[in-house]
This record gives sequence, structure tokens and C-alpha cells, in this order.
Amino acid sequence: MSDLNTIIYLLVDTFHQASTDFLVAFGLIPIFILYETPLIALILTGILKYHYRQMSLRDAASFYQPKVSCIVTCYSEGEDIALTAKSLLEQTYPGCIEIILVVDGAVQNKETYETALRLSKEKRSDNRNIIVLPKWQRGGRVSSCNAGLDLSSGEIVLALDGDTSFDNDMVARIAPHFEDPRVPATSGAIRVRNAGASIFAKFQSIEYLMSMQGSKTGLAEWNLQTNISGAFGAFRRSVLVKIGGWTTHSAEDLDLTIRLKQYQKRHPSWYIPYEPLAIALTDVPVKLGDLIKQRLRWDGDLFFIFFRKHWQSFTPKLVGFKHYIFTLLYGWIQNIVLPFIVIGYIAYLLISIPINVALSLFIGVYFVYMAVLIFFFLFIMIAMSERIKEDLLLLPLLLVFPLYSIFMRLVAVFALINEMVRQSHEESSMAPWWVLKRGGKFK
Amino acid sequence: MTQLKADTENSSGVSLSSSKPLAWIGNYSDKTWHPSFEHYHSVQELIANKQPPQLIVFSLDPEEQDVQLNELRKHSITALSKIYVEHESALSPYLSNGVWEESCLKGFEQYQERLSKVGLPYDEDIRFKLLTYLWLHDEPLLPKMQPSKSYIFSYPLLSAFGIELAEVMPWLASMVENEWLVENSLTNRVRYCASCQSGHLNYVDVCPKCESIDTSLQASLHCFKCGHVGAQESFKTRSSLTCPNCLTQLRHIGTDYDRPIETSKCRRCNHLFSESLVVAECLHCHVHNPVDKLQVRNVYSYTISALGSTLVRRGMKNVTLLPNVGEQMAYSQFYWLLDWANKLAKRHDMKHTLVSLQASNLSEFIKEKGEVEGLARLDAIQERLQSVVRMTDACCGDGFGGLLMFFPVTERKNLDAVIKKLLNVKSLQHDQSLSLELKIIELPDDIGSNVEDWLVDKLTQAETKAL
Repeated sequence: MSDLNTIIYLLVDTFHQASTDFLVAFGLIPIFILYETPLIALILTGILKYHYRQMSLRDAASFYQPKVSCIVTCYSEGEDIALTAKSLLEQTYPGCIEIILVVDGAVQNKETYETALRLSKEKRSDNRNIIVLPKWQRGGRVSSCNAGLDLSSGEIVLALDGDTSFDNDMVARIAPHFEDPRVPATSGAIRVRNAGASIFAKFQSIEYLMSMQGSKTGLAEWNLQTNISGAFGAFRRSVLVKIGGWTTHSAEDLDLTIRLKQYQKRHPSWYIPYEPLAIALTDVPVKLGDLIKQRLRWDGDLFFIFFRKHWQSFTPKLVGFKHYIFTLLYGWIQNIVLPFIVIGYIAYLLISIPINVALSLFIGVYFVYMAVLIFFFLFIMIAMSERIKEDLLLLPLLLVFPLYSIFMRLVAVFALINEMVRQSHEESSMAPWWVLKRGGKFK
Repeated sequence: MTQLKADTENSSGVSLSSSKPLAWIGNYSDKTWHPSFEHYHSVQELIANKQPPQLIVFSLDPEEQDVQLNELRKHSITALSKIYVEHESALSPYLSNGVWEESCLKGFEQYQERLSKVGLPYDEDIRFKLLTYLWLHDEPLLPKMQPSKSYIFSYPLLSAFGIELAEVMPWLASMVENEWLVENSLTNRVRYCASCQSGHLNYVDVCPKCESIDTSLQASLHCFKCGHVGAQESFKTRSSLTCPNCLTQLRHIGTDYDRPIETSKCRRCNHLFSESLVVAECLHCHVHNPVDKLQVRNVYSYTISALGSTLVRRGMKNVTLLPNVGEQMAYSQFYWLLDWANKLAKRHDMKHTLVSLQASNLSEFIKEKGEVEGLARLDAIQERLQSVVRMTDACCGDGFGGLLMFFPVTERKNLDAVIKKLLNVKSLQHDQSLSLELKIIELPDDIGSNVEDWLVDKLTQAETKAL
């Protein structure tokens, strides 16, 4: 009991001192919070800019209705691809939509293939067409995307996941962006479809909301989009063909985004917008084990892409100075260096300072973090959410969300070390080993 | 009537030694291989002549030809004649025996040969007439499709023979049941109105509730929030879908809304349905038939069966006393068996017995009882005889409507049990009007080289025992 009293005393004292003396406050707030402040500022101002732009948008009807090809990469989803295909058939977009269901390893994934065939035979309106492209031998996601691109005939190509379904106005919101010839690509927001499945799914739901409706929306306004998601990306077909489609290795979506950005210096007018109201719903891992596995892959792939695959091409000469600085700060440092700092900081607190002081400081930081989080969450929800009622249900979870966040940083540290030491990207489950092997090695 | 050609020996070398004239109806065109014809202008002229011709060739314009062909087949004198046509007409494949060409002469010769062998009186009975026709011409009975008629398919030959359209189907069915005709090939399957038997049906999809034909496809949506179901158009706003009932924006199929399986709408009763009812509306009586209540008929072409052919050749004599008793053997096999058993008996000192069973008044019996009853009686007797014969006994027809039964290793004196049973068979008849005769031959005997001759001799010599 006395321990708790001490902690509370220290906590109150710290807050008191910090409120009266700015320097104390500055000294106590961990440096990484300061580091994140400009990012948050960029995001918040970006969102405000988004709304300003929306308000000043002239409400003029456009005759721009290009043909849209949706490449849906299917694997072992089975019956679930029906929902994806249906949600694409349901699009309110008045133009023509071509849906290409690429079934990878159609021999093993018989159910998926048969579902795709059945869908292709169903009756539908004239400007919706389903093409089934079976790949008998499994070649991985990249080969599926490229095969789909080869077959596609639309001016706009959407690369989509077979387990993701879409709001019926998705294409109607994505397509108009391409009326501007300076837009090579765009993407929309991904939401969690199975948030009710477990507490981890709910945490991920919060994560996705803050990332998609928050960070991406805000940063895109400053043309600083970091990644066009592999599950939901839209591209101008001509650009995609010119840069050679997707390339082998894991994290092909980030790889493609980086390669697009490498044209920034040559095409200074290019910008990659983001459409937060084009919504995709996807299922996230429900069990903690699956979630950790997914994050180990994602975070490891980040290191692989930044430090192995695109190490040499990462220069201001190619990507331009703005992108160079931003990627350095919030691509490399935030994703790869920061997890080590956060975990190191916590370890340092626990080891070097008396446990009471460390705990009180930790709780203090926790509250600050939570306060920022709640503000950020509410701001995003009010500014951007199109499903406010559902999102409000997530609010109580914000009280424990920082713990989840710290845990995920720990996972990231593991993933990064795993990739650094063991080159874990070569074990990716996204393509068979012989495809990865032929893709070339990066040391 | 004009004699067109005098010589009956024609260029093809086929001898047409018919005492009855060959007739040509219509415009004659001379060919080197033609036999001599008597020329007629019309069927009436030919029939008035009262000399039934066996070969008639038609050369008329198609419509007239069809009418006259029908006349010929209708008339008893010419119903079974060989009729050829110079040019095909609508009914000629069904009522004539083909197009007139040189090879027809051979066909005619064959026809004459068969005609001389017909042993069945066919004038009185249309069934026998048809059987004789099919056997004589060796042709199948073909159905003709007549889309303009409500019955769709008919058999022109049967119509000419005078069978009513409504009777054709059951009539043919009974012929098949008698095993006189066999179904040759299934030509088609037709459905008829249950009310008026018309085949002119209009299959129409109607509302399952009110049977109105005024239905249309309607893309509908179903709002999950309030359960409202309505036409997709009523949900459409500028670029999204909003439920007109609860004003919820419907974003995601499967989550906010779906499409009901009912895709059709009745414009009379506003009923929404997924599968329309299909009814067959009769174009004649306008009755709406449920599809499963329609009368289904298979349309076959028919050929004469082996039994039918035998009937035509042998007439009613064909009806044997005991065609089905035991497992009947072929003659050759039976004779071989007799010979072998005889040798065996000689060598090993065995005794066999051969029994011949005959009905002396079989044809009278059938005539007296009428065919239907007579045959039924025979059936009953055959059934009982089967119980007399053992597995090890061999049976064979004797070629005269009787039965030969061979009882191996059975002496004459041991046969009393069998005779008793046979007597029993006889006594079970109601009126005992069928008189059965029994002849007994004992083996071994000196059979000689020809078993058949020996058997015939023995049977004539053997004492006849009336049962």
C-alpha cells in the first residue's frame, strides 16, 4: 500500500512541478514524444487541409468514367472471395468495371477456383464483367498481380486482396482522382471487418483507424504517403506498366510505393493522393499468435525494403529532398530505430532508477501518451469517420491501448533483429521458395 | 385402260410372272427396264376395275398423289399392294414403298414371294392387316410430324387403315403388349394438353401467386437495419444507396444490405418471387396446364416382331400348345441329344423315354373360345405343364404345335407318375374341350443316320393315347 502511495505522490509531484516549470516538463517528457510531435502536427494540419479542400471543391459533375480493372488476388480464401467479388459487382460507379479473379495455385485451392468460376457465370449488368484467371502452379502474390495486370484492360488498375470487401461507392470515389493526369496512384482506407471477434481485433481496429483515417489522410495532403497498401491500391495502368509492375520479394506494396517515389524528381508534379472515404473492410488476425506472426513479417519486411532492397536508390537525387527527409525521419527512424529507443527507454527506467520512481515516471508518461491518444482518436473520429457509432464502441479500449502499443513495439524489435540476423524475408509465406530464390539475394 | 408394254420379261432380267396386271397411275414415262403396265388416270378407275394389281406406280402432282395414295391404302384390294411413286410427295414416305427405280423390281419379286407365304387372314382384322403389311414390305411403321395439326404426330398408314386418331396410341400399345410389334426407335417425346389433347402448347412463365403473365424482372435491395425490401431504383441517390424507409446509407453488401433472391415482380398483384411458375397454356382450349400434369407421349417408329412375323406366315396355326415349357431346346440340339442318349443306353443298358404331347383340336379350340380366352387358357395349361417337367428333362417343340419331352433314365413303367400329372393338368380345365394326345417312344432303338426321319416315322407308328 505504501508503495502505491509513494508512486501516486511522486506522480502528483511530477505533474505539479511540470506544470509550474516548463524546463522540468521538457526534461521529463521522453524525447520520442517530442519526436512524434511534428508528425502529429503534420497529420492534424493535413486533415484540416483535407476538409478545407473538400469544402472549396466545386460540385461539378464529371464525365470522366474510365474503365476500371480490379485485380483480386485469391489464394485459399475459398467461399470468401464471393463477398469480395459481390462487393465489386455492387459498385455504384457508372463506368465499366472489369473484375479479374486471379486464383493462385488453382490446383490446391480448388474451392476458391470453383467459387470464382461460379461467380463468373452469374447474371449481372452489362458493364460489370468477371474474368477468372487460374494460375495452376502457385507463384505468389506478386506473380498474381502481374498476371492480372497483363490481362487487364482498364485505364485504372486496382490491386485488391481476396479477403477484402468494399463499400459500394469505393470505385466511384477512387476513379475521379485519376482525372488529374499528375496522379499515378492512390489508395483508400482499410477498416477492420471482424472487430468484434476478439480484443486484439479491436486493438487492431483502433490501429487501422488512426493509421488510415488519421496518418494517411493527413500526410497524403502533404504528398507524404508512405505506403500504398497491397490489399487496396489503385494505379494508372500506363504508369504501372512503365515501371514494370510488381517485383518479387515480400512487401511488394511498399516496394512499389518506393519505386513510384523514385520518379518524383523526374516528375515533380506527381502526387499520390489518398481517398479516406473509399472504404475496404478486411479480416485481421483474431488470435494473438497470428497477430504476432503477421507483425513479425511486416516489421521484418520494412527493414528488408529500406536497408537491403532500396538502400542504394534512397537518395535525394531520385526521390527529392522533401521525401528524402520525411522517409528518413518517419520511414526509417520511426519504424526501425524508434522501437529500439522505446524498449530501451523502458528497460533503462526499470534498471537505472529506483523502482518506485521508475513506475511513477512510467505511469506519468503513460497518462500523457493516453491523453494524446484520446485527443488524436476523437479528432480523427469526428473529422473523418463515416461509421461513428461503430468507432465510438472502441473508445474504452483506449485506456489500455498504450500497453498494446508497447507490446507491439517489442514485437517490432524482435522482427527487426530477426531480419537483420537471419534475413527472415526469405522465409516469407507470400510466395513459394523457388520464386523467392529466383528473385535475387540482398545482403 | 391402255396396255403400255407387252413383254413381261424386262431388261433387268427379273421375271414378273404375275397374272395380275401392274398398274401405272398418272403420266407415264417410258424406261427401257419397265415391265408392261396397265395405265389408269385415277385410283377410282383402278378400283372400279376390280382386278387387284400387286404393283402400282404413281406419277401425279404431289397433292393429288397424297390424296390417291391414301385412297389406295384405304381400299382393301390395294391396301397391301406394292406402291411406288415417281416423285416424292408429303405422304409418300409413309404410304408408298419408295421411289420407282430399277431396283424396285427386285423388291417386288421379294414381295410376291412373301405374299405367297402369308398364312394369316388379314381382311377382317386391322391388326393383322398391319402385321401383314409390315412383313410383306419389310418396312417400319413411321410416324409423321404434322406441326400444323394439334396431335403433332400421326401414323398416316394407320389413318388410311381406318384407325381413329384418338385410338392410335392405345392400339399400338396393345400391339406391343402382344409382342407383335417392337418399338424400333424413339422419334420424339410430345406433351399434350390434359384437357383437349392438343399438342399446341405455349409454355409461359407466370406469377406463382395469381398466375398473371404480366411479370417483370426487378433488381431489389433489402436493408438490414429496417428490413425494407424495394426496387433498387428507389434506393439510389447520386452516388450511393440510401434506404428510402429508414434513410440509412447502405455502404456494404453483406453488412448493410443484400439482394433478396426474389428477382421478379408481378405487375398485377405486386408479388415478389424468385422463380416464376411455368404453365403450359393450350392454344386450342386455353386451359392452363401445370407442366407436370401434361400428358407425355413417346413417339416411336415400330417394326414387326419375330412373333408377329411367325403369326403372319403361319396364321393362327402358329399358336403352339406349349411354347414355353421347360427350357426349350433347338431341334438340332434335341436330335443330337436323342442320338447320344440312345448310344449311351445301348452301351450301358439304360432305358429312356420320349413323350410327345399334342393337342389335336388346337385351332378349333382357339376358334371356339375366341383368341383372347383361348390363349389365356393355353397359358394356364403351360404353367401347369412346367410343374411336370424336371430340370433334367429336355423339351423341344415338335414343329406341329406340340411338345416333345425326353425323360432320361426313366423306364416306360416309371412314367405313370408323369402321366398322372398330365391327366391332372387336363382335368383342371373347366370344360375339358382341349383334347390332348400322348405318344410314347422308348429308347434304345435303331435310330439310323437321320434322327428327324426316325422321329417322324416313330411318331406316326406310335399308338395314340387320348388323355
